[in-house]
Amino acid sequence: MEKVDLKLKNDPFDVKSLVRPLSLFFFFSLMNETKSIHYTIKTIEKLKKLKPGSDISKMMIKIATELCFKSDVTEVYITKNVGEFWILPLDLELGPWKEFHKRISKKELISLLWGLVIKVPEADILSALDISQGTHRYRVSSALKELGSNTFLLK
Amino acid sequence: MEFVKLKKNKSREMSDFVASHLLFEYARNTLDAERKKGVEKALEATPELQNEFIKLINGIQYCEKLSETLINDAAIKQIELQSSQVNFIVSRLRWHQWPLGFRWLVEAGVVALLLVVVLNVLPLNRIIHLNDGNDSQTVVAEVDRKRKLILDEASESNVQAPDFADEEVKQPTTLAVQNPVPPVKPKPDVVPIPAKPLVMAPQPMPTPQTTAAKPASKSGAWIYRGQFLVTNAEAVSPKIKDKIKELGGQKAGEVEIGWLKTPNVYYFHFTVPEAKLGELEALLKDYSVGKLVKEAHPRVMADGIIRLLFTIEEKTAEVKMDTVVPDNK
Repeated sequence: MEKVDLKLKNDPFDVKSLVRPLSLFFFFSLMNETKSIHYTIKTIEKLKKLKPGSDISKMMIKIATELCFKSDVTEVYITKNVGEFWILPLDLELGPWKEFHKRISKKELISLLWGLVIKVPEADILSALDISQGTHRYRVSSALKELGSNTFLLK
Repeated sequence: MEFVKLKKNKSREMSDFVASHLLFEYARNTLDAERKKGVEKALEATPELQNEFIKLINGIQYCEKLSETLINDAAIKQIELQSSQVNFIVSRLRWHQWPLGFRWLVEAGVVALLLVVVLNVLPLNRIIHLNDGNDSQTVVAEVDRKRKLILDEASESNVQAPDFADEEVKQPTTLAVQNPVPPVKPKPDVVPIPAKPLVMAPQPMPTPQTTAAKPASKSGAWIYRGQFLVTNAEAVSPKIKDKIKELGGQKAGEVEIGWLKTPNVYYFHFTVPEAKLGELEALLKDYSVGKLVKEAHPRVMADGIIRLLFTIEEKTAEVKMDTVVPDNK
């Protein structure tokens, strides 16, 4: 899959290009459809208020991450209407992801999502999250091992 | 220029710990050749590392699948629409472009509206009278209100405000002296003495226990109570009433002095100068042998003024005393 290009040059920016990464991020981090739509809209609204010339990509990661940290951890995981807004791959099981959610820290989850699921350039993640490359990679590696252990058991 | 020839050291083997931390880089193929070799050697040698590597690969593959998730166009449109609706309303208002005076006017209107809403919703009366709840006077007034229903029949003509709050009529028994608050029923075993024209109901005299109750009351907080049985109460009662007025007596409750409470029972509740007490007692002795009993009472009277509460009853009515429930008027 192609890497997302969020280097938006001009204001007003294209909302469509932000919807997918944001909604995916919130969908997989909060595991709640309604909340993910709500926070996506909230992030977009915040991004619209930024001064012209701001780095939208970095700010998107920063604002979305902040909102994700502020939001409550949902107790009710997605059970219905998954295919209504989000079209998941046919052979994808969400069981390991739900299990992974219970075990992993939010920081590792966020690094994994931005880096390997949404595939935002690493430099933007480091800048937005204000962490070093080593920290980011360590978090991703640790999260991958945890996620892999769930899928490993299934095989 | 000559280069110093360095001795070639043996390359050190990579530890499992380091290899474990380099697995992610190895999986992404971003390691240099030397480290790559080191990791491969460690992987061959350690089965635990192999397990970790498999987990890592599994995780990466799972993330790849997750990243293939697509979003329905309807969802994108919905988000765009909701986002634009909020934006649209805000932009249409153009609040910052409004004239300053008009903005102030709108703000003042909003504040006034909020105030009206708050004032209507908040129970301000309760908040203002919050401290009044502890006032004992209010409690006395509540007691009066309960008894007004009984008074309505008789006290229509008494428009003047009473000088004192009503209290219950008490029989001058020792029980009443010991505990002045609850009303005490008159004893049914009262036997009239037919020989004398004016007979006082045989009542137990105040015992020394009355003195024990006195220290609890304040100075001047007294009431004189009594019950007098006379023959021809209808004729005697107005005479006593006139004499009381002569002595400077004033009604103390809501009803007039000598109010006909029930047939053959006349109710006297009044204040009189303390100096006139002797005269009053002498007057009452002329018609009856009854005696006034001094009791402690929470209401404090002015200096030199005493309060009396007694009934003049027809001698024959004594038998029905059981059924009479005396109320304060």
